[in-house]
Amino acid sequence: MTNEILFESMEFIDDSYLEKSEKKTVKWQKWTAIAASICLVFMAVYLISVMSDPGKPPIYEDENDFPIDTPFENLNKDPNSQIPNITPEAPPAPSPNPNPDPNFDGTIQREDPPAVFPENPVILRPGDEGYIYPEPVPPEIPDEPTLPEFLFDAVYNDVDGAYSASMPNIPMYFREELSEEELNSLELIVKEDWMDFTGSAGFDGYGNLLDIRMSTQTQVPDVEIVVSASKVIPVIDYIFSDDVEVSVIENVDVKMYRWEISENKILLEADSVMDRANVHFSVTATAENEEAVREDFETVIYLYAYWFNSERLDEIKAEYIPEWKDEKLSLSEAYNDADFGEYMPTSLPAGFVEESVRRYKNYQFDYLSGLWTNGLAQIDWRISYITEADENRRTSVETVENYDLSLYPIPMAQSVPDELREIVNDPIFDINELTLDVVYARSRLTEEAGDVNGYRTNFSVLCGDILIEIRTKGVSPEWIFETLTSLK
Amino acid sequence: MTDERIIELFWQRDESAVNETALKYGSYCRIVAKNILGSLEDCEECLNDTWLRAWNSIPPQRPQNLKIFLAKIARNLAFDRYRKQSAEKRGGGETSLILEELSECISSGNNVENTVLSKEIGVAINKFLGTLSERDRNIFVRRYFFSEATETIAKKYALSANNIMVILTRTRKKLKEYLTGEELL
Repeated sequence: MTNEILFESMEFIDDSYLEKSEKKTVKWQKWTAIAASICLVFMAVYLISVMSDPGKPPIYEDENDFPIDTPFENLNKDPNSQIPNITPEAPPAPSPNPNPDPNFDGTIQREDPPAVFPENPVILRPGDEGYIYPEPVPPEIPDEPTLPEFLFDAVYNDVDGAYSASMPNIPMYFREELSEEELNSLELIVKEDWMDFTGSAGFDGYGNLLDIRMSTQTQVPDVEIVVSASKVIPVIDYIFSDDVEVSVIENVDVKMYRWEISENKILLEADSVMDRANVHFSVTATAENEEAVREDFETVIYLYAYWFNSERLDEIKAEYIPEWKDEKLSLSEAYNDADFGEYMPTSLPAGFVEESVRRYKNYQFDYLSGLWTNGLAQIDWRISYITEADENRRTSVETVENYDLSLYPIPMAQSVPDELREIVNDPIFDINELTLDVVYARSRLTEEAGDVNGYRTNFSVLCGDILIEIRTKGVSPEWIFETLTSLK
Repeated sequence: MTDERIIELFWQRDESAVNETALKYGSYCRIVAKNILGSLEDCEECLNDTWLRAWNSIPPQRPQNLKIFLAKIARNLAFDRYRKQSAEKRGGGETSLILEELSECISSGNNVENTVLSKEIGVAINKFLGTLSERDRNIFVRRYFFSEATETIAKKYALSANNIMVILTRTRKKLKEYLTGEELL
């Protein structure tokens, strides 16, 4: 019967607690009430100033509006009225106009105010001597929302691998940057000073929202936390050696992961269902900054668990649906492509056959590509417009350290300096600077068991604003050079 | 009629006090009783007893908050009736569930009844409630004082019933720790 004693003990709960629990606690009501009060105060001030201004005549749009017949009089005329026959003091009838004006519209015009007001006027107008301006009523400032008490123990589960890609392939998928208004609607009500979110939204080809992705810098330099949320895209499946422990944050279950991707690169992630949406958090740390990164990471998760409202996702709309196409073409159709057709190779080395020619366009990519093979040898040719992201890879042929593979023995991960890795991997040359030596510098002769012997070549050339990316295996540098120079 | 006026009527031994109380707080106390008993028929008897007990209590008492005062009486009477019914194995509303939940707060093998009075626990519960956030406190009170169903509380606080259950579970766990810390368990 012990639980009954405890139940009975509830009788001694303070009346104040019982009373408070009766009240609705939805915050927007409180805020609405405050806002309404402020509006009423301003309305009252405005009405007082209007009513005390003798220079403003009352305006009646229609002469029938003039309140001679009051509702009370009408009621009194109704013999069946159940309302007591009250005769209120009728407003004074307008005095007949001594000078009938044919344009008189029935409205009563106040006499012009006197040039000089009496010594003790009953009503003073703003601007009159002696008029006391009312003290401005400071609007009531509601209490600032404060950071909730931070109370949870994050349990990171060690990850061995992932079952699925981080994002499923969704045809016609596109992303848009979130507008400021959308960003504001999604932002946390309360956040730390260092949080400054930017974001984008992903949609299907019909403009239906699939996910949002927001990111913020942390207090650790160059470390960014990414938060994605979706009502339709599932979270990632990970592989674990042990059972997964769940962290409970503000009554929300959160699975937190720690994955050592490579030496000194640690991926911290968290998955949760918050307010019926799948929410995923991720950040990359190093051994040195992991502790500091964790702190910021957990703060973001905590605040989302506290404030995230999936209904706000419904307000995100696509501004426009970008063109999308994914067409398999014949080579002759490819030559007729208005954008890129003229940059397709017109002839192929002997023995090569067409695997696929594809025209693809979405919100992110716009290219024409061809793949030809000859056994294990292959030519991969892709034509697109150059973008800002490609600019970093542009190099002059003079700067050999940017592209000459003979300077970088395999494994290149160890031989190529970090700062040159991107450009050495895939340099872009101006087609007018391209020489056979440059093509050879980008080709590595290999003999691997089980694969075709010969050159592996990769680089890109720029023809105006058209970028041609070439990846070949078992193809002579001469054919590549001649084909490219023929396009000039 | 204002609460002050109703209390005055009680003090003046004016029987209309009972009618006015029933008129003003009848439906409210009915809900309190129904949450515990689950049956409207039992509630009506419980309500009549509530008015009678209020009549016998005022005077000498002069409640600060008549509504809560009546709610407490109705709750006590309803729980007494529940105990009688549970001995007869019938009825119960939310109460059996609530009692089951509250048993989590009691250490096994320890009989609270034998160690402290319920009033002392009540004092401790009050202090404990002071440590909770307003939302969690209100949810706790709605559930364990007013015996409201979790679905009802969920609607009130715009949360899911599941969420309410999680909040209550965590609060009960905290309560147990608190009562243990106060050496009441």
